[in-house]
Amino acid sequence: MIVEISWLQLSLVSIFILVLLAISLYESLKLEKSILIGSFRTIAQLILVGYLIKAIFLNAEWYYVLPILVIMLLLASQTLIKRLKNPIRGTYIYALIAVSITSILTLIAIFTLIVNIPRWYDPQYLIPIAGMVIANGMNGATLAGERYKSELFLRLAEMEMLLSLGYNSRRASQTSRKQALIAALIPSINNMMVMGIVHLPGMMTGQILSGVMPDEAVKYQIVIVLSLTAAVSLTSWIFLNLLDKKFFTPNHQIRYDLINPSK
Amino acid sequence: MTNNNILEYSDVSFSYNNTSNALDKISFSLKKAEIIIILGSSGSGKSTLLKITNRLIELTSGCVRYNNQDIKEISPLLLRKEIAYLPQTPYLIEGSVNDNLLLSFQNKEDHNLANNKIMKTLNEVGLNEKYLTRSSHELSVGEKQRVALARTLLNHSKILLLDEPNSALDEENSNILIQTLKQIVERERISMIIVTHQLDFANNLGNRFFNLKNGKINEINNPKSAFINGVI
Repeated sequence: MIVEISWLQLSLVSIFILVLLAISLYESLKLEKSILIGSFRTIAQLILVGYLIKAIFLNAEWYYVLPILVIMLLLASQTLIKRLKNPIRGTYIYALIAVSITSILTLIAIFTLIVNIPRWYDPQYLIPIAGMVIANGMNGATLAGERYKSELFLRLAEMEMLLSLGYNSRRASQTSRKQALIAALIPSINNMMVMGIVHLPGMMTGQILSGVMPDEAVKYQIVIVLSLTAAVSLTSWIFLNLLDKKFFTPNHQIRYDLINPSK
Repeated sequence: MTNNNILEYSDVSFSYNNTSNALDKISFSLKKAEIIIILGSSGSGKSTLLKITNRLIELTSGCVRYNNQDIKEISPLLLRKEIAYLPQTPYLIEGSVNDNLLLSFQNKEDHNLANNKIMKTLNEVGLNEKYLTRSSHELSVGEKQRVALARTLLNHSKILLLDEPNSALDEENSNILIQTLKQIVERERISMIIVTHQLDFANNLGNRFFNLKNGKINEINNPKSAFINGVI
């Protein structure tokens, strides 16, 4: 049985906000406004989501669950594009395709092969796991997209050389794509290296706190960590391959205006 | 257009983002085994002109014909094998000289047959077999230039577009490059368009001379006149 937190007790989290504010004030970080807004948003958004998910749990029907997933996909794709510096027009749809395909495939794999849930839309399983898959895929693809653009800029001479020798644009941008994928995957791979030793992941901690035995929580965590790393690679890979079309014309010419906007 | 012309520019214009013309109605032609020298100050559109020729960038209006065919009708990937562009600073990939030369053999199956061709071409540009295993980082600018040239020759290009090939070379290396290029033209009957700032280099290599100023091109009899008229 889980120990419940009363609203009064919850209000004492303000201690942590005060610590944050104190350090910011003492060191003149000028982060007070962001800390207050951030803290308020965390509390408000989570309470709201808590009630929303509770309502969905109580009415566990696919027509309540599915729109939530669609909203998550749309917001994640928008965030992915927003986080790229100088986002390029028309790439939102690429982000949406990459995040959606990855999420659907990963969730199908998890819930048909590994975790057999009674109904595919069971919100208790589907929403938290979909949230993690979507968010991780989004973060990976953001890293990949950002790195890809800077690699293309750095490798202009190399690309011109390869195109001049008659290679196609896909081959010319291959090294940039490779570096971008590595940049996206390294945090997830590093994370796997220290998993359970340095890093006790949120979901496992949450399950243990909710009364699930650690050995069972660990099984879930293994599924999550490996599926998330796969999701990061797949989202980034799809996103990069779609993005590739933006930076070159069909005649295998570099779009200098997008890679180097100063030119 | 006479049959002797391998390349012909007719009213070629180019502008960035539809602003003023970087190239303005350029017309001239290149014959087989001919070396044309283009003189002009930096920013006069010389590199743009070269890149238009093998469709690294697309011309805005006008027409370039290669062997009597509009280059827009030729696949850019094929065209770039025929018409090679060498930038001012040659780019070599990380790895050995051999790795760089193997880039000219796009099919991995060809790599086994490549050795003899590579050796022959390396000699043509004045380098010996010891260079094959050397790292591209260790090479001087002049040596890099020659490796890049060998890589282009291995691609069986018919026209070379050289963008200020001697800008980073001392006099000795510049003279070596002149001899190498002359031999290549004689032996392979390759045509060249060379952009340069340097009078001696131009004089020693060119069959015909043009100057490019404010996006417009004019043929001149003697590269010296470009200097006298303050083009460079």
